[in-house]
Amino acid sequence: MDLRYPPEAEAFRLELRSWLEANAEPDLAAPHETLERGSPALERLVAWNRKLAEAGYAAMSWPVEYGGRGASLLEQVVFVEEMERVQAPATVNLIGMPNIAPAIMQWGTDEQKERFLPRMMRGDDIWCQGMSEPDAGSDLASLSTRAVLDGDTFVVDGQKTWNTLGHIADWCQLYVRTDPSAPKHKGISCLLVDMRIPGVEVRPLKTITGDLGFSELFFTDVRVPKAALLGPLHEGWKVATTTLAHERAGVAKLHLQLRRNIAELISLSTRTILPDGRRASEDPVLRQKLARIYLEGEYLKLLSDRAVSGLLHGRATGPEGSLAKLVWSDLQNHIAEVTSDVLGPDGLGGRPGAQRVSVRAASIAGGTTQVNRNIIAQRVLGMPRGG
Amino acid sequence: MDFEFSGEQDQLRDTVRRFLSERAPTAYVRSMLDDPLGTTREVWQGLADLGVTGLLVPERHGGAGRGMTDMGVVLEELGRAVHPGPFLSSAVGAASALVAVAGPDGDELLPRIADGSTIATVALHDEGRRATWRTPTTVASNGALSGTKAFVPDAAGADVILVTAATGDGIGLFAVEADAPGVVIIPSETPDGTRKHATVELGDVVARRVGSGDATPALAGVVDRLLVAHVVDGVGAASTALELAVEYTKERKQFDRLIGSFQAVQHLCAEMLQALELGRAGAYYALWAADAADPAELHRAATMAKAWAGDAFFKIGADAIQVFGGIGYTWEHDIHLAYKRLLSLQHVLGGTADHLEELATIAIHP
Repeated sequence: MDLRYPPEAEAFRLELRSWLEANAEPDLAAPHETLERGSPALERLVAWNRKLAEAGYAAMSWPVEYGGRGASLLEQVVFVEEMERVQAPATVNLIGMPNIAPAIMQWGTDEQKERFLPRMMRGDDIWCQGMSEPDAGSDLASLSTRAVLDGDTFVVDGQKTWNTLGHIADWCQLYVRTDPSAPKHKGISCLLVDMRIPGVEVRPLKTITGDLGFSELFFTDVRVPKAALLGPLHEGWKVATTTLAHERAGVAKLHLQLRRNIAELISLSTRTILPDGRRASEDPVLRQKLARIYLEGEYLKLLSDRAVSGLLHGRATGPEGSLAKLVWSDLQNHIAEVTSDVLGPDGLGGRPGAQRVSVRAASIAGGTTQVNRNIIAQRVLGMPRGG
Repeated sequence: MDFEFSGEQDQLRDTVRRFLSERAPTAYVRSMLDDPLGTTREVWQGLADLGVTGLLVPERHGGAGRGMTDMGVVLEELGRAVHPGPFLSSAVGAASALVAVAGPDGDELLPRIADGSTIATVALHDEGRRATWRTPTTVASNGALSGTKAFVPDAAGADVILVTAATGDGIGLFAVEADAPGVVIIPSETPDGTRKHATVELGDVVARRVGSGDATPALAGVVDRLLVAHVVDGVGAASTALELAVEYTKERKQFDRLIGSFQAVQHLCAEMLQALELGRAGAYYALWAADAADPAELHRAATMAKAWAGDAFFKIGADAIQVFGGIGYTWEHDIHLAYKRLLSLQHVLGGTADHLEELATIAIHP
């Protein structure tokens, strides 16, 4: 047991740190929902993405043959830590790089790889993913967007929802049903669709926060060339479940932002004065709550560290990885709630109040808490499936 | 970033696990529930023969000179087996206290603790003072101790009790023979028969001081090691509780279905695993901190470990009984042994509120 980073990882940290000191710009991390096509903020972000690509930092985990750095797992973890430290985004393609590129690498034709991967890495093309539908949420495989082969062309009809980056995307990795007679996991295919062709309509989806953070995608008689098929026909479910073998540092990201938020909350508690003149940080009840939040943040980090250690020792998926999402979503809620406790009535206003609404997404997005518990019970603890 | 135990440590784990399953299975644990010492001489000698009683004792004083990470491997196995007896008190508590307070010259007791021929414990807390140990009400004057020590672990079976007392120059640590005149040991009644406690009354008891000067900083490190030791024992006990419960859900049928196929039961077990794995990561980190980090970081890690495990591991024990339903409430079923061990953990060396308050002091910088 040795919880220090090895010297080569620390050497990479120093190298990256000095590059960031010379090159990072302030306020790059704009929330993606505020980005608009052609806006200066988006152009700035894409320019930053290209700068990262030119310095060899845009695709840490990608194999060298695809223009990536082929970095070791610990270098990837160090990269994630250092980028968070200066609050710089690692890519404009926050869906494409971790979720779409691995599938293109595994299933794509040479032409697809050459056409899409370099431009995705540089941020020249922005990618979104068409998975969820109004009637296919947790039960993703029940999707019903249709694609019918007409000669050399797929004709696509249907609706996708909860789409991230759809409003600025050039391309979409779209999951469609190509064999309605097959069992639901068997008749799905994956298409790489140009978002600018006729029949594709993007409408903003207004969420409970009142913001337009996500999109709905509508496909009406959209004609997609057969060459857009990624992987074998009707085998799209395999494409969707492509293991993210080289995106393994993701688990290390979860705790970084939250521990920053916790440090800010603790700082807020020392600046918030109670009616009796004491600081919020001196109130015994609030101290218990703050300590509990701090503990949860530190333990999410240790859970992640242990998952990374497991990966380094060749354990593909430990319970730590699947548990981290649950801990992360609980903790997001706890931070928002204790922020309210610290601020009292003032907690309803401004960002803290808005946060109490936006955190509802934490236990839904990326798999609901309940589905995750099913997965842990069945796949980690080996409990029998219901029926 | 290496969280794994070494091959040698894995071997140690196998050895201890095999010893416990052969020599101290559940029937043995049950036979010790009402025994004042909590161990047979044979089993105690067996542990000593494995070399584990001397793990924390330096080689020059007859031990193995290993660290808390090695010790943690043993403690987790003892917890898994809900093993009774004074091991933690003697091999972790007394050994760490003597090493820390006596300094490089060591103490005459160390070789005897290492080879198991002496069983010792540490009396840190005073009656009516909850878990504070920094301001003992027991006092030493002219080499004699007076006061009342509360919740002294394994005092009824120990040969030597290491007592903290106020002296003219801070806290002193004193070695008291358990059968010395003026010592009265009154066993405490607690639900957990695998952890013995007693009140120790000291009426002008002649004692030998260990080391010199204020022992407070040394004892702070000892308390942190004890916290970590209890939590790692709890990792083992909570693992047992979860494993027994999950196994049962795969056998027990109600309404013509395995109860493990009910989502309500699945989610309960998934939450137990979540609490356990977070606590395990924190406990192992604290073991590493005890061996490799500075005292402040060990204190932070130990405080976090107990603040987490106290309630979270207790709840694993409670939820395990819930999974079993009626059978889990019977004396005959073993699950209550783990539950009660985790109930002891929740209270030992302070409660969760105490540790969260200490953690607040560490985390909040005005």
